[in-house]
Amino acid sequence: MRPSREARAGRREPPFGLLLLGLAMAAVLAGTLGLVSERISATAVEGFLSLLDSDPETAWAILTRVRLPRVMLGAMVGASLGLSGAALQGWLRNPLAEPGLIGASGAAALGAVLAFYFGLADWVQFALPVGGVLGALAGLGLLLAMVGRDPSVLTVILAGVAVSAFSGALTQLAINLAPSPYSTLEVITWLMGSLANRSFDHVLLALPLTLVGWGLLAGTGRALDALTVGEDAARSMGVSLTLLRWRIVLGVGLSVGSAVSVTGVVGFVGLVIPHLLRPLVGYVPSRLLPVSALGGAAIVLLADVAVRYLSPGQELKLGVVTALVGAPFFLLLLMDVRRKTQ
Amino acid sequence: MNEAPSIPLLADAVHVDRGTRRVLSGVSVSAGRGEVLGLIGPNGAGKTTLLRALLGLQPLAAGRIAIAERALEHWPRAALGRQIAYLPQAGGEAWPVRVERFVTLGRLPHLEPWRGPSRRDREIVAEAMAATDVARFAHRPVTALSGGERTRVHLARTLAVGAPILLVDEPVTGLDPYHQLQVMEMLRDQARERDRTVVVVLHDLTLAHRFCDRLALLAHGRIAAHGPPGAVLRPDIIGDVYHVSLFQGADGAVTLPWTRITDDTRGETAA
Repeated sequence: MRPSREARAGRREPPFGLLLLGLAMAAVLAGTLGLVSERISATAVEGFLSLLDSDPETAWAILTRVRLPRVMLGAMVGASLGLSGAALQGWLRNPLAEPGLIGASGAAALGAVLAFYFGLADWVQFALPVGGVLGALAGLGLLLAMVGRDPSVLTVILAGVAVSAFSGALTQLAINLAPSPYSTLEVITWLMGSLANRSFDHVLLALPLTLVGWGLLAGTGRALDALTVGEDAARSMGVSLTLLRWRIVLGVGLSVGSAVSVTGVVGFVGLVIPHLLRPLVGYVPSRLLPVSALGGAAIVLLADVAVRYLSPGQELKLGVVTALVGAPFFLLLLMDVRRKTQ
Repeated sequence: MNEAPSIPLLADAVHVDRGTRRVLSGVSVSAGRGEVLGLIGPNGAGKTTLLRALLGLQPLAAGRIAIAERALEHWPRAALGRQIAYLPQAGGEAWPVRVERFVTLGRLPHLEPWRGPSRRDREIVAEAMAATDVARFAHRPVTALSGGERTRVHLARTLAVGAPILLVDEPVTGLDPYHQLQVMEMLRDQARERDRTVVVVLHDLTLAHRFCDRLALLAHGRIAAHGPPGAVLRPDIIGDVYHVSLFQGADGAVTLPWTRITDDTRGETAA
């Protein structure tokens, strides 16, 4: 036995409460940064000062109508992605499962694009998140049908590739057939994933479905822990895998679907965050759920502040940045998994 | 509390199909309190399927299973999880959690919602780890252990459930001789001293002979023989089912598979 990284990681485990507190503080700090940051100025301090310079009424309006919804959405989306990633990984016992990689995000985007495309979203605003949720659920349903009773690393990733490719093709078809270049541009920009120019309407649109999704996922901790000992052993201890499957699929579908429908696709958060935090909770799936939710919120808020400063001219899209950082991380993780299974 | 029922485990004419293939046909077994029942039989005879059927994890095509004299389908899943503990064959540990935490997962059927393990739970876990000799690597990740060590950790998790019925599938596979004996002694103690019911799948006929009170020999999904070890581990029966000859000591106490019976050796294998 080589002295594994895991053995050392076990000793580095901080107290659980402290970890939760630290991540919550990181999220609050990142949110505060997001509130005071302004894109054009060089630093957050300058942004804050320039806010003080303007008249109080304008400053208040900027804070509450522009930046607060942006920060709230960032926290919501980040928490949804982190929580969903942790839940999916625990359920499939697969460190590579992620809402984006298994096609749930892509399918959600397709659902939202269709709601948008057929004018349903103009007709009833609520059609947008509902479209996203239905898309995500359809994508997850397709994935499950392909994976069957063998959720091995390889089959899940391959099925995810298929679902992503299929929903991506249909999304492109919708864009291709779009009535005007303007709406094409609108959809493409939105697909890149961003928190910019969002209002409280968007928050209110996504919040109810997101909360239901969080609630469903929050209750899966004990069953996920039980799965650590294997499927049959977990079932022998009274865990219903059918119930667990429904909770996870509905929970991920609701939270990721509604998040994607208002912010576009923000990839890899659900992969990277649970992976980085897992050793810190001693690999216990139930503890990883709240920790990943807080970590996801913190990282999306931080990334959103970063995109405002990294690109003084054209604002970088959040989804582009998370993909740029996340994709190489995924590659490294894949090589690690391959090395371990060989 | 009621008086404990006299037949903790009963399978009556159980049939199980997998696809179009019948994997168990008309299997009837029972196990009493304080008894170690050994399930033996060649690979693919249906031993694991029978254990899974007893747990309600395997749908029956026909027949009846009763746990503590109550039909299996009338047991709520959670209550059944406290009544029967199961050690599946190959361990499927998903994450490198520490051994102590892994064993503590055995207490899950007893935990209140949103509450952690109590002091009593921790005592039971410590006891289970001591009984399986895994306490000395309590803080190591379970995935860093050797195959035999992992098997014992899984067994500790199974013991930690504290259930009156233990179904263990090949608990000594991959273990060194010392730990094979230790695990079998521990299972026998669970039956004798704790008055528990132990059903154990074994391939080692010597251990089966030595530690089981009764044996059920499965072949092609049917019970080929059952009864006390001496009545089942007979050269003629074992020769028919396993195609090996038996070496038995003068008093019948040692039972060793000796040579393979092939077409060439048939007729010259009187033990």
